[in-house]
Amino acid sequence: MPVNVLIVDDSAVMRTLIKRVATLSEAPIGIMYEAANGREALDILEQHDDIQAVFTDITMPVMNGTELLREIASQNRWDHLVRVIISTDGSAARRAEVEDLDVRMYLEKPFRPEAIRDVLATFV
Amino acid sequence: MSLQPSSDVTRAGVAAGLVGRPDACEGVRGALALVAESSFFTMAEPIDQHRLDEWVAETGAVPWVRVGVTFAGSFDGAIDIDLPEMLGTRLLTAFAGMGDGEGPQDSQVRDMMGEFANMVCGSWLTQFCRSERFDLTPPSVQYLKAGPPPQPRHVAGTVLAAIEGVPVRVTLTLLKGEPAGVRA
Repeated sequence: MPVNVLIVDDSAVMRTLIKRVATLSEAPIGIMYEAANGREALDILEQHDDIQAVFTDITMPVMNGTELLREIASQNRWDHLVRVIISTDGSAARRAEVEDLDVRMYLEKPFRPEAIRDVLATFV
Repeated sequence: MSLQPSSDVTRAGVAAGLVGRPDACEGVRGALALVAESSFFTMAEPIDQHRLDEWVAETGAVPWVRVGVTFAGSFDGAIDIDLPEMLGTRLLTAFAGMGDGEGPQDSQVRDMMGEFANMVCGSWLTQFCRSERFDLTPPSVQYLKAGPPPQPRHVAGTVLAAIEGVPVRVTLTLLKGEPAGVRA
């Protein structure tokens, strides 16, 4: 069954890259929703209950990735969401910040395309 | 690797011992190479100032771009990447996998160059100070008419490289505080 994902990054080019890699991975990906920040991501999650996974950057304007994940974690209706962080910030301090937010995987940018494929393989 | 000592250490608020940090510059060089290879499937070949000057003389007044990212944490600073605009277009094609006939839009090239600087800065900070958190500002992109711009002030180090035979200059500016060095 195809998996619908939400890609959250303030860089449109990065969102395009992630979508392209996900498509090329041959994983059964369904709809790929996009958001430029955490606030937009929450709006999309409110409107679409068919999303199974969220790939999010950390540093974004309006609402950053950590704030988005905290909001997701605070609502039982989103317990099923697989959460993946894709960020340039791979510091231990930042990882510790999201430790209690049920993050499936933390990918550091720059990432090789295989990394996205491997993440998808864990839940698709 | 070329180090450009700051001409006014006191005004920068940077300790005298900070001028010319080979460890930091090697880290920036490593981050540039990692980003070039992982995201753009190319190499960042070390060059010297002479090679940069030669390229500029041979190609004439081509437009350049400066992309900057500032960071704040246990020490504050900025990374600026200066590159010819045409390289930005080539990198976007490699990054986003654009095929023939898919002409990149200016906004996409700008976005990609910002992401390029973001990845170099973030990758360097993650490797250089892995235990610490830094906050990065959204990248700024400045288009310049011709030739590489003058280096930023109070530069702590400079890395020169060629990507696809085109020169790239990365400068590290330290504004406040001092990195303790490479940490696990």
